[in-house]
This record gives sequence, C-alpha cells and structure tokens, in this order.
Amino acid sequence: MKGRSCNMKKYRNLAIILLITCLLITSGAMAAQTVSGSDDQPMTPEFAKMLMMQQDYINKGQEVPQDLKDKIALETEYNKTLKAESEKRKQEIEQLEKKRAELEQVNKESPGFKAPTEPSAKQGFDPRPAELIKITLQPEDSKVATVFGNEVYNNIKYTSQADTAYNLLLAGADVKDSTIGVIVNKQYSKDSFDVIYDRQTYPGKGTITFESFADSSKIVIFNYGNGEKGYYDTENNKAVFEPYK
Amino acid sequence: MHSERNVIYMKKLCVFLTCILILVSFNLAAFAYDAVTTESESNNTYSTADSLTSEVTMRGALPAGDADDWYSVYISSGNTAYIQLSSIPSSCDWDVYLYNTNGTTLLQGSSNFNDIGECINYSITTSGTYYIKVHKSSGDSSSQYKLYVQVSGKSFTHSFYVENPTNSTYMTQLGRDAANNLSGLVFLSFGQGDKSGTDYGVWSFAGSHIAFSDVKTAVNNFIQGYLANPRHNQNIEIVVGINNYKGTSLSTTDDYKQVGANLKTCVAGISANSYVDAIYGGFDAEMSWNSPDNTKAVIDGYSGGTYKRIYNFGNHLGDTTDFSGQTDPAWTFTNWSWHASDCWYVSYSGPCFVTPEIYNTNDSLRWTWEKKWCGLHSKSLAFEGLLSTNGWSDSTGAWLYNQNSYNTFNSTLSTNGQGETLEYGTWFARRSQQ
Repeated sequence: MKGRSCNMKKYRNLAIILLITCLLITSGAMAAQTVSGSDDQPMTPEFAKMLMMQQDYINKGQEVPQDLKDKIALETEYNKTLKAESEKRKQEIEQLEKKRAELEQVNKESPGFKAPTEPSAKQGFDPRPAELIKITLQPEDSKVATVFGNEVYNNIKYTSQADTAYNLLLAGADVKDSTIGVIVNKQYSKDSFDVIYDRQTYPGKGTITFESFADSSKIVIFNYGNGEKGYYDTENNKAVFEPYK
Repeated sequence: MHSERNVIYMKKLCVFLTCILILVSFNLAAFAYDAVTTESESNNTYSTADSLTSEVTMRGALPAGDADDWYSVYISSGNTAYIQLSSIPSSCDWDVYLYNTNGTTLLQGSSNFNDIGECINYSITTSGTYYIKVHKSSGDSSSQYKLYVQVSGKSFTHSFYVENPTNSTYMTQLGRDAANNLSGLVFLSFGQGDKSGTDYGVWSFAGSHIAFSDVKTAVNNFIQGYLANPRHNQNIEIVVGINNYKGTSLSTTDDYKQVGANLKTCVAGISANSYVDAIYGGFDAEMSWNSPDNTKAVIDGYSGGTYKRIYNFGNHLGDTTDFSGQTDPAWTFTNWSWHASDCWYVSYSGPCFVTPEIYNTNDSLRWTWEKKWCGLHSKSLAFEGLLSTNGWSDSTGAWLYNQNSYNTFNSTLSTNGQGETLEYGTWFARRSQQ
C-alpha cells in the first residue's frame, strides 16, 4: 500500500513537472510568434510601422523578409537610444519654456514685457566674395540644374553663366527657337531674404553669350546674334542690346 | 481737315500700339507655374476682407498709410486653424490676429516683438467664415509678407531648398520665421554632391562648393532659429539632404561613397535639442539624374558607423502600369538604367526610408507598383508619408496640391491592396517663394 502510494506521488509529481514543462514550451513558442521588441514601445511611427509589418507576415504565416528583420534589429537599438534621450529632450523643453516665460516675449502687450535691447538682424544677402565672381563658358549641366532648377535646364540651350555680387545669370537661347535669346537672372536681394528667379526672352536677338565684366562686375558684357555686342545691367536687371560705353 | 486729322490720329495710334506690342514681347515669359496669390487692396476692414484659400500662400504688404490687411476664410467645426505670418521685413513689427465670424471678437493673436514670424493654432468648434488681420504694430514697408493658412486635412510641414547656407542670419531666419509650427519631418536640401580639391562636399544652390562642415553650421543655425521663435512648440525632425545629380567632379563610385560618408559625419555631429527631436540624412535620389551604382554608393558610404536613418525624397520614373509581376523591371534613361531593385535599395534597405515625391498621379502609381513589386519579391517597403509641392510646378500647369497629393497616394495605395498610414506630409515651396 505504502509502495503504491509512493509511486502515485512520483507519477503525480512527474505529471505536474511534465505539465509545467509543456506550458513553458508553449508560452515560449507563443512569445516567439509575437513581435520582437514588444518590451520596448516604439518611439517613432517608422519603427511602429515596421513592427506591424512583421506581425502581419507572421499572422499570414509568411516568411518575414530578411531585410525587414535586419531593419528591425537596427531600429530596436536606435529606439533604446531615443528612449534614453527623451528625458533629456523634456528637460531641454522645460528650460526653454522657462526662459521664454521669464523674458515675457510671447505677447508684447502683456504686463512686464521687456523689449529686447539688441536690434533685429538685418535681412538681406551678403555680396558674393570676389573669388566667386566669374564668367563660365559652357557651365556644367548638373550644376546649372542644381542652381537654376529643372525648368531652366530643360528649356534653354545655355552658353555661359555669369556670377556677380548679387546675381547668378545664365545666357543662351530658347531650346526650341534659337532666334530667341534668353537670360535667366537669379537675384539675391540686399534687403530681404527673397531670391527672385527672372527669365527674360529677347525675340530676334539670337543666342546670347557672356564675355566679360565692367564697372566692378555690375555690368556683364555679352555678344549676341552675329557677334553684336550688348550688356546686362545688374543694378537695373535688364539687358541692353548696344555696346557698353 | 477732319479726314487729315483722323489720319494723323490713326498713325499715332498705330505707333502707340506697336510700342505696346514690342514691350509685351519683352515681358517675362511664364515658364513654370506658381501657386502664390497677392492681396487685393483695399482690404483694410473685415467687411472688405480678401478671401483666403487653405494652403495657398498669400503675399501682401503694409506700406505707409496701410495699417491693417484683412482676410477671410471658411473653417468647418472640428478643425484646427493654423495661421502663419512670415517674411516680415527687418524694420517692421507686424502681427496676426484671428477673429470670430462676426469680424470683431478676437479669438487669438500672435504678437511677437520685432520681425519674428507669427503663428496661431486654434481649434474651431463652429463652422463659418472667420477673419484674419495682419496688423502693423510698427514699421512701414512695401516688402511683402507671406500669410499661410491651413484649415483642414493632413498637416504638411514646410521643407526648404537652402539658397544661402553660409549666411547665418538667413539660416536662423529660415528656422525662426519660414519654418511652420507643425510637427513632422522638415527637409533641408543643400545641393548636389561635389568635390573641390580634396574636399568631398556639396555644390550649393548658391552656385559654389561648400564643405559638409558648412552644412553642419547651417543646420545648427536653423535649429537655433526654430527654437528662438517663442511660439514654436511642435516637435520636428530635421532631414539634411543632398541630391544625386551627376557632376563631373565626382567620377567613381568611391567618390560618391565618400560623399555619403561625409554626409553621415555631418549628420551625426548635429545634436537634437528640445523641440528638434532628431537629425537624419536625406537623399533626393532621382532616376534620371545619376546611375544606380553611383546613387547606391552614396547610401553605402552613409551606412558605415553608428546607425542613422537616411530618407530618400526623390522620384520614381518607372512604368505607370503595374510592373510588380516582372522579375526586376528596368527603365532606361540617357546614360543608364534603373531596376526596381535599385529603387528599393535606396528607399528601404539598411538605414534607408522613403518620403516619396507625389507631385502627380503618375508618381502615385509608380510608387504603388514599386511597393507591390517589393511585396512579391521578398522585400519590404513602406512609405514615411509623402513629399508634395503644394501646387507649383516646372511646367505651365499645376502639380498636385498637398491635400490632393495625400488623397491621391492614399487612394492609389488602398485601391491596389497596398494601403498604409502615411504619417508625414511635407512640401517644398518654389525656390522664389520660400
């Protein structure tokens, strides 16, 4: 009797151990099926989206692409960095808002407003340094596209570029009609931070090519048509089709 | 006598009309489409207010004798009105106020001192026509301010082509005044990769070579400016971008790799601060501007060292018909071909993410098919929102406005089984209107 009772106890204990083991294995497998990184809440929409994408593959019983796994591994570490820095950001914001409140700058009509003593910075571009003032024949295509933008690049057969103190000028002819001379004038304002793009066309004048500077590069001399001379006046932003005197 | 007089008159008229014709032919030729409007005086009271369109920039001025400019805009309940006044001249202190539908009850004002840009975020609970006043606290000027209002839909941050990165005041003002107070990604595009002597840097939009150390200084000035506006309280992440135009100064893939590595060093050296959450790299990777090998080399160079994201904000020039079933379709440009796998590489491999250009319906289709192709070829791809232009374009007709870009892309993705949340919206203004 005693022996049977001992065996029962042993088998019971074994059954309990087996049951617990089964439960442990099952929960481990389930954990492997859920999204990794679930202990770290995503700090950014990008990471959250990646985790959702991964879960979507799992839910559909599909293989998660290796590139996504690799990306999640990278972002998991980055997420930790962001989390660690988030407290720092909060403190910085607190300091900033405290400083703003102290200066009472938010509303100049509020009591206690103190007008700052320093004047506001002057708006307007500085003149281009002397070493950058130049004329370039057949400027490089990619740089024309970067500086002037696609619409210029695609519509002008350009010959030359003139860089002055406050202007970037591109000369040539209309790509569809070479009898139409074209000058694009990118002007940097002295009094504001406006950059003005101005495209001027000159029917009948033919291809325009910049040649040289005059009057401290305020004047850009060009030739046009059959070698006739003209000049671009950067102070008045206009082309004059007669020799500069 | 009378007939002689008439003949003389007609001759003079013909001469006059000929002069007009000549003058007209010298006028500016419109070669791109601009999405900016100008105020119509006199709009000095709320009863004569100019009508505003949401997300269309209005330019106006307050010269001598003009104390106020009034505008009206319809806002539906449940929306937040976002109002921004920027480009205030340096000698002026101009403010902005939001009034109720009766035109007289003040709801909220933004009255920073001096020429600091103003912004208002206000929740609307009753639908109706509301009034906005741009008020001259001091200073006359005929220089134009910019008034930007958004009253519904997905918010779009304002991104920038940086016209003069080495001017610290310009960069500070870009952050302080031009940047809007809306959360999300803000792209600062600096130009194309370039080599000068031994320096791998950038050919800027200002037409000169700058080092990445200059780019770093410029971004720090922008951050300083953003935080200097007392009303800026939205979290932004700055993306420091270059484009992939093929220039003659860079001739090998190693050159492009070095540009990528230097971009990474630059980005990693800029610190986040309070409302500026994070700094990332950006790449305007366009298929027709450079070969896939050179473009991918920039990514490879960037990928070294500590992990840092890089966002592709370029285009896709693949087929507008569904190419997802093809093995690895290719599209040929003047000097090179791009495959779908190349586009994926610079958009979602390793540290890459993509905020694609959605300027028109074709862009929407191409990126949708790219995502579908990835899904069918064991690659993952997701979009971190989209990049729009808010209506201007290189051609004479408008590209999609921000909300249309978002709706079009959303719809195209969903219709084709590729739907996802598009978290971010951002737009570049036309360079002359930044």
